[in-house]
Amino acid sequence: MDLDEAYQAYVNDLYRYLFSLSKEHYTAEDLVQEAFYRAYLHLENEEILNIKAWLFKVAYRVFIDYSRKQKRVVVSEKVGEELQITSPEKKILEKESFRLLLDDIHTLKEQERDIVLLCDLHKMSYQEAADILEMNLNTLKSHLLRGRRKIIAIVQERRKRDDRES
Amino acid sequence: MTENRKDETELYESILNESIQEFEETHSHSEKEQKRIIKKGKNTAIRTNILISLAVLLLIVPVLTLSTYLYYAIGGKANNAIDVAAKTIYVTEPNMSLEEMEIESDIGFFSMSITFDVFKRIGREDYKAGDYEIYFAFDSPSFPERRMLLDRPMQEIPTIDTEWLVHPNASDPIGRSGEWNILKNLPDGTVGEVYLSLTELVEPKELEEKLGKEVQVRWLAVDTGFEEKQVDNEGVPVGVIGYPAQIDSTTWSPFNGREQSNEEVFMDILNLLEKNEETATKIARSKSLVLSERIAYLKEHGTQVYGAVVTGPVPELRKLENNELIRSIKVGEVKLWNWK
Amino acid sequence: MELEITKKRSGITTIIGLLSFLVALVALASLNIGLLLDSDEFPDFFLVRLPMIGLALGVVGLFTKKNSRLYAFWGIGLCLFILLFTFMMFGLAWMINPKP
Repeated sequence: MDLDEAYQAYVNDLYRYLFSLSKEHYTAEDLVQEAFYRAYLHLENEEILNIKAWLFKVAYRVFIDYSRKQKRVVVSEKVGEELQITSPEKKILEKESFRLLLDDIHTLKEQERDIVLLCDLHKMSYQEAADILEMNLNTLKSHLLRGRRKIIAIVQERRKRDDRES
Repeated sequence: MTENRKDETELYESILNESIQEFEETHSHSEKEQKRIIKKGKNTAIRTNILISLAVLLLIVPVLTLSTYLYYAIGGKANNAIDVAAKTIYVTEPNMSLEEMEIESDIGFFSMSITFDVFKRIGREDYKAGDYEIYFAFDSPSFPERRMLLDRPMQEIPTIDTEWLVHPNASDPIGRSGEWNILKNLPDGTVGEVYLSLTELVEPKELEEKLGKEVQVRWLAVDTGFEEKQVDNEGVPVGVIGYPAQIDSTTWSPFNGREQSNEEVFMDILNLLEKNEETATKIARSKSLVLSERIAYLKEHGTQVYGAVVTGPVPELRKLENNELIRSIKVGEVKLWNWK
Repeated sequence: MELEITKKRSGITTIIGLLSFLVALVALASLNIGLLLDSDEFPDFFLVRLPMIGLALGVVGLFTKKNSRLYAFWGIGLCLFILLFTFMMFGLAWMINPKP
C-alpha cells in the first residue's frame, strides 16, 4: 500500500512529463499507465533509492519505445492517429503559453530537448537527469546550456514579433 | 552583457513557471483518477506476472520431455541400450531368447525403462520364461528386475557351486548324480531341457553329430579360458558365455542366419558388449564378464564348446547317459509332450 | 464520444495479444496434461490447431500500435514452441526403439 501512495504522488508529474514529450493528451495518458505498469513489473529487479527519478526513467523508456513503435506503424495506423487529437474541450481550457513553450522545446535537437524538459520543465537535478538519460554529467551540462540559450533566443524573437504586431 | 544574461534567465524562469502552473491548472488528475491509473497499472503488472509465471511453469514438463528425447535419440543412445540389453541375454542366458519386436521402452525424465519377455524352447515349443524390466538413468542401467516363471531357475548371482555348465577340468558340483534319477522318474510322454557338461572340449559341429538327431542342441557354452578356474583375475565368479546353436528364423533376431553364421554373430555381439561392458555386466547375472580377455582368447583358440543345452523327449534324453562325451547333467524345465 | 472510441480501440488491441497468450497457455496446459497422463492418444486440436490460432492472434497482436506487445510475443513464442515440440516429438519418438 505504501508503494501505491508513493506512486500516486507522482502521477501528475509523470503525466506532465509524458505530455511534454508526446504533446498529446491521450498518448500521455496511455503512457502513464504503461509506465506504472512497468514500474510494478520491474519492481523486484531494481533497488530504488529515488522513487521520482526512477519513475521518470521508466517513463522516459516507455516514451522511447513508444516513439520507435510509432515510426514503424505510422503508415498502417493513420486512422488511429486521427482519433488521438486533443479533445476540443481541453484545447479551449489550455492556454497558449505551455503549448508554445513545448513547441519551442521540440524544435531543439532530441538530446537537448530531453535534457531541457527534465532539468527545467520538471526541476530535476543535473545528477538525476544524467541518471535518467544515462548520460555523462558534463555532457549533460553543456547540452543544457546550449539548449537553454536556443530557447531564450526563440522566446525573445517571438516577443519582439508580438510587440511589433501589437 | 551580464545584465542582459540575467534578464534572459529571469525571463526564461518566469515563462517556465507560468507554463507549469498553467498546465497544472488545466491538466491535473483528480485523486480518484490518480488512484485509478495506479491501480490499473498495478493490476496489469500482476496479471502479466501471473501469466508469465504460469507459462514458465507449464514449460518445465515439455522442455524436460523434449530434452530427454533429444538426449536418447541423438547418437542412438536408447537404441544402443536396448540392443545391448537384448544381446546380453542371448549370450549369457543359456537357451533363452527374446522377441526383439516386443521390447517396450518407456521414457521418463532423463530416464528410460525397457521391458521385455524372455522365452525358452522346451521340446518343440517356446515357453515364456519370465520378463525383464531394466531402468536406465541417463544411459546407465540399474540391476534388472527379473520375474521368472521357471520351476528350476538359475541362481540370480552365480557362484562356483551353483554353475550348471561345468568345464571338463573344473570340479563337478556335488549332487549331480541325482540328476539322471530325475530323468528316469519322469514320464515318457514329456519333453525336457537338459544342461550337459562335457568330458572334453569339442567343436560345435562335432558335438551335434555325437548327440544324434533325436535331441536338439539349443545353446552352446563356449570355452574362453576362464571356465577352468571359474573366476576372473580378481576372484569374482565368471558365468557362462555362449550362443544359440539353432538359427532363429524370426526376422529381427540377430541369429537369423541370413548373412552370418551364429558363431560369427556371437563374435560380433561380444565385440559390441565389450564397448558397452558396464551396461552388459549390469544386465547379465554374472558380475564379471571380462570380455576383452575372452575375445582375445577366442581369437587365438577358436570356438570350442565345453557344455550345451539340449531339448527333446525325455526317453531320448535318458539315452545320453551312455554317451561318453557327457560328464554330468543338470535337468532344467520339463513340459508336456509337444515333440512332432 | 471520442474518448470512448479510443478506449475501445486500446481494449481490442490489447485483448488480441492477451488472447494469443491465453490460447497458448491453454494449449500448453493440455500438452502438460497429455505428457503427465502419458497417453498416446491426445487430441490434435490442442497440439496443432490451437497453437495455430494462437500464432495467428499473436501476429495480429504484434501489428497493433498501442500498448505493450509483450503478450503477443509470449503468445507467438509459446505457440511456436508447442508446434516445434509436436513436430520434433514425432521424429524423435520414431527414432527411439523403432518398430515397423
